[in-house]
Amino acid sequence: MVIVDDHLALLALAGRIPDLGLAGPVVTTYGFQYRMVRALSDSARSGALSRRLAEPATAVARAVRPPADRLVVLDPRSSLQSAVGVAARHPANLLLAELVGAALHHRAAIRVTPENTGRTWAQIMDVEGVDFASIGP
Amino acid sequence: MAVYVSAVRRTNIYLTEAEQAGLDARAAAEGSTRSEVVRAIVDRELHLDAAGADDLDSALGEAAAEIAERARALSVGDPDLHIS
Repeated sequence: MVIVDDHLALLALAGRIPDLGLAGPVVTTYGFQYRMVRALSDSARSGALSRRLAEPATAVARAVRPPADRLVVLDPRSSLQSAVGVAARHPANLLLAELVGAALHHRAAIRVTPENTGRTWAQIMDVEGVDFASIGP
Repeated sequence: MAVYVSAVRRTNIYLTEAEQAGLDARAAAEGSTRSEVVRAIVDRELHLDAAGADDLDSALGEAAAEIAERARALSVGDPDLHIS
């Protein structure tokens, strides 16, 4: 299982995700899904999607309910205890605590784009023993 | 003769008597088959009913970087979702 950020999740929704170098399903967290859906909704009103699609709401609908053969959104409740533990051990906001907690709970790897890599993330992932890497889209 | 839009592959699953009875009742009511009812349920549950959306794939793929940038911009100042 590979947990991806919102940028890679968008590419997964489009069926255009780059080679992550790992086997298993592509998944994302609720935090990244929220960021993705919020940006898509904004873009559907005025932006890239409104220019490219006659019905941009279909893109928002796909991100809200992703086809599972492309992207699965992890239930944050299943990894809540792990996320709380991460937040207790590191300076982590909700997005990061959920991300690392999900990786620990599901024994998953994490792949994010360089633009979505926090300054302290690599160090925290290393301490927590999470397989983590940045990957260009 | 059944005509499938996508190729189907035989698979075996274990169901309770109640689940089988429910599937058979739904199939009979819809003039369908147990397999068709199961496929419809799976497609609906896993959101696999996005066939014929090539334009959507293209738009999402081409706009992904711009939308990801917008996600970052919208999260600035949000302590829960900001990446720093």
